[in-house]
Amino acid sequence: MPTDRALTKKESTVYAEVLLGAAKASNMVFELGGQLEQMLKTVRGSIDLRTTLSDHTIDAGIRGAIAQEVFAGYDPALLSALQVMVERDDVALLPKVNEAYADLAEEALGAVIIDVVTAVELDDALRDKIKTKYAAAFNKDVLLREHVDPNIIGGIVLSTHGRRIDASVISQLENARVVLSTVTSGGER
Amino acid sequence: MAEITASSIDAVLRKQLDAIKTSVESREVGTVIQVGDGIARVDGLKGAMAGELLEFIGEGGKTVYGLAQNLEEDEVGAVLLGDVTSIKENDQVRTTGRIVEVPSGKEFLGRVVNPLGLPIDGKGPIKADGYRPVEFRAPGVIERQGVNEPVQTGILAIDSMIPIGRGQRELIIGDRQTGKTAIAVDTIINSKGKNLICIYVAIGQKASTVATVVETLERYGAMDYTIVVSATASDSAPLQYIAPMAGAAIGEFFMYNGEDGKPASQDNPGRHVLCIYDDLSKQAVAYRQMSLTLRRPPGREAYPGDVFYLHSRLLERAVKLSDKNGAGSLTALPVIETQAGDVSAYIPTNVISITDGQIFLQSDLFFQGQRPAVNVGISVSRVGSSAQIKAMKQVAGSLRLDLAAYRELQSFAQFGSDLDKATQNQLARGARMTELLKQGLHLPMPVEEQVIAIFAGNNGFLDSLPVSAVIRFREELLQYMRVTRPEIGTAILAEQKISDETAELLKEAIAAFKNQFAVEG
Amino acid sequence: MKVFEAAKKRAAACAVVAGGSLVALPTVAFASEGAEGGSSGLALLLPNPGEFIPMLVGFIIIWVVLAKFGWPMITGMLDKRVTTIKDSLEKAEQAKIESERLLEEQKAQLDSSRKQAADIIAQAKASGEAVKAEITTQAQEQAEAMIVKATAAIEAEKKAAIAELQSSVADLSVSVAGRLIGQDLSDAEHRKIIERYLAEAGSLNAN
Repeated sequence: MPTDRALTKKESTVYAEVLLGAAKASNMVFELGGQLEQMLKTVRGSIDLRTTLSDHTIDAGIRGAIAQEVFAGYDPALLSALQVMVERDDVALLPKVNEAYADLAEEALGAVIIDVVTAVELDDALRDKIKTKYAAAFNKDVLLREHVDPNIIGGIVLSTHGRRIDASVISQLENARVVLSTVTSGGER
Repeated sequence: MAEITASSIDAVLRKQLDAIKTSVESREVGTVIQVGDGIARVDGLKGAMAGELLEFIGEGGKTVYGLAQNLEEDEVGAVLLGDVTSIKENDQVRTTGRIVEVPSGKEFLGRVVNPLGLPIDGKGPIKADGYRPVEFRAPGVIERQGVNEPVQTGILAIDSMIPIGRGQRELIIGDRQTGKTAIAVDTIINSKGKNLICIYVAIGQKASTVATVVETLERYGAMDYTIVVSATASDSAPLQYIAPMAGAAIGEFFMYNGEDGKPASQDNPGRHVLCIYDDLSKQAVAYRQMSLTLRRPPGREAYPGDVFYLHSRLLERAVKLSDKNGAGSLTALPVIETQAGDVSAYIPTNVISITDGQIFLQSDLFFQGQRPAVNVGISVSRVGSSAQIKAMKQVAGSLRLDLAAYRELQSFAQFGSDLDKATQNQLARGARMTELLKQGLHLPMPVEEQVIAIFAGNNGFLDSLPVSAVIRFREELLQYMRVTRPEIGTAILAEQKISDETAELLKEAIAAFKNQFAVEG
Repeated sequence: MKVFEAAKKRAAACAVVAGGSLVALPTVAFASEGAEGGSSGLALLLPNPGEFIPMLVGFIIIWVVLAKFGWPMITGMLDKRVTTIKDSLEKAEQAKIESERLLEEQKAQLDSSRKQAADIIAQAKASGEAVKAEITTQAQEQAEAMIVKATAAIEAEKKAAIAELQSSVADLSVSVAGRLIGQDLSDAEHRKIIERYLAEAGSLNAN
């Protein structure tokens, strides 16, 4: 894997552009972004998968097959891109590809993608509220990538471009717990 | 034992609940890419600042703090302070916009805390009077003044010949088991009632050693004005790395604020603080570990290139503030452990060149029974003499000469037995003076008694005694002076010098004591 | 002195006896002369000039010899004896005076050393008292400090206990609250919460 920053950047842009082209063709630009992010999280979260995918003692074909198996049901364009990455030993580029793709996709869609996590499904009224609120702020269309996670108990978590608004009940409770259990009060921060 | 009532807890809880506010502002977040060896690589966080405090949200919402260290194009290398095991990949990381701060205040006196200011002595939470940044720019030239007050260590050999001033940086260097910590502890014990707040920072030591030090300080009533900051060998490298800075920050709170907790000024004098970093070689090792795991390029002895800057910016925080800034002071006593007396290793040379002098301890002296094992020949203090009281200067000058002459002659004396009378006298004087400087553990001596003891030696009262009786003579003389002639000591303290009358009185009193002194005890 | 006196007397007695015999000689001679001449009785009393003259000469010769040699020798010897005796007597006298002086001195010294000893004892007593007082006050201070420390420790322990209790209460109540909220909220209520939070939420693109 090249360590030259310019080179890696160029390579990841190539992957991202190819993916975007394929997504555009199948009209899946938005969905593919979500899948790519999910894929990145899965790879990151599992050391076994990460090491297996970049293990030279295993044949590249087998590794590719493993990747196909793990991410079965994902967009075929994405899967074939991953196959190439595995064969070319570029799995480490995945975060950069994801980033580049997100930028390209937003440009292509002419919108801002906001990740929304809630405990229950959103209804249309809420979707509209979120969209109008942030469309005004970004001066752009807003697309919502919705996730349902009961673990947050309630409330909403919004995030985009490395910034996040955490208005979930669990973090409020956690905050309360921390404040309640620390007695080292006094003094100004 | 006072009762813990339900209502007291209820009241506290209610008070705390009021403090909760539902803030839903957006914050910058990143994701942990990799974690291990006490460091984490974080994706995102493009707005993170070097040295910024990061919040890692671990499993079940558990918060672990980290320090942003390496800022790269699209990731941040951070060190974790705290429970490393509860953080894993894909965890969220938030910036806080703060740098690491430690709480400080009056309630910390007598407590043992970790480098984050949290109590570890099981005596309950500590109420902070304020917070100080761990990394703090040292005061500039205008804000300072020259060192002019002494730190009395209570150790004859140091106070007479290697005096330390308030605001000075004096290195204590020596092999293991030469009494480095003992000097530091003696200094703390002797600071009782001298308006000096002591901070003992234990870095990378055994927890049992720290416990012993705390126990000793408690026994001598020295914990009342002492704070112990402890990062033991079992704490993570980042904690050991920030421990001295945290100690300095806790001390700075007292220096920059007056007795009332308000910022120090012309009419609100800041306090005097003594910081002991025991020891900085372990901090350097912790920093080396951190740097290597962060993949910074190693330099000499595999230390990172900025290990000099690490120590210089820490020790530069030792200061004697100008009167306008409250005239507080922070004295630094860094400790460095050498290997087999090798002071030319990387860290010792660095710290020697940063400090205003050093106290060399040698193991061969230690085993010869010369304790404290200070080698007065190569120990120096570059600024402390201006802080010495005049009486001490009067007696110390001739002591230094006697000892220098003794060292010079000692080698000759080993060969020839045919020495002329003058040489023999000098040798005898030197041997007695060397003996006079021996001192027991945790037995600090007030400055006036030091002056009296050296005065007795300088004026030849010891010359007729056998060397083995010198220490007993000193002890009994001081006891005698305390009980029967206390006015002499008071006079020395009051006048800060030995006037002609005092000298006469002293000679007369010492002669009187010597008359009744039984050599065979 | 007496010896000297006696010697003098003895010498005088010798002289009288000698003088006596000289006067007696002519008388005997005259007597013997008187007895031979006119009346034999008187002649006995008158000196016989034939005998008298040589005797006188002999007497004078002996007198001269004795006066010249014997007498000074005897007196010299006596004088020497007298001075020796006198000297030794004087020396004895002096020795006596000296010894008396020494005795006095010794007495004085003994007195002073007795006094010194008393002083030292007093001083030692005083310093002992001082040390005792010091130790007592120190012990008292220590005891007080210990009490203060113990109180502080108890206080600290109480605080620690409260803190621990508080944090466990907080943990417990928060986890209970979390479970209750999670179970009890209906979807509509959830959405209401979301709406409320959304209204409070700040901007996402603020830097």
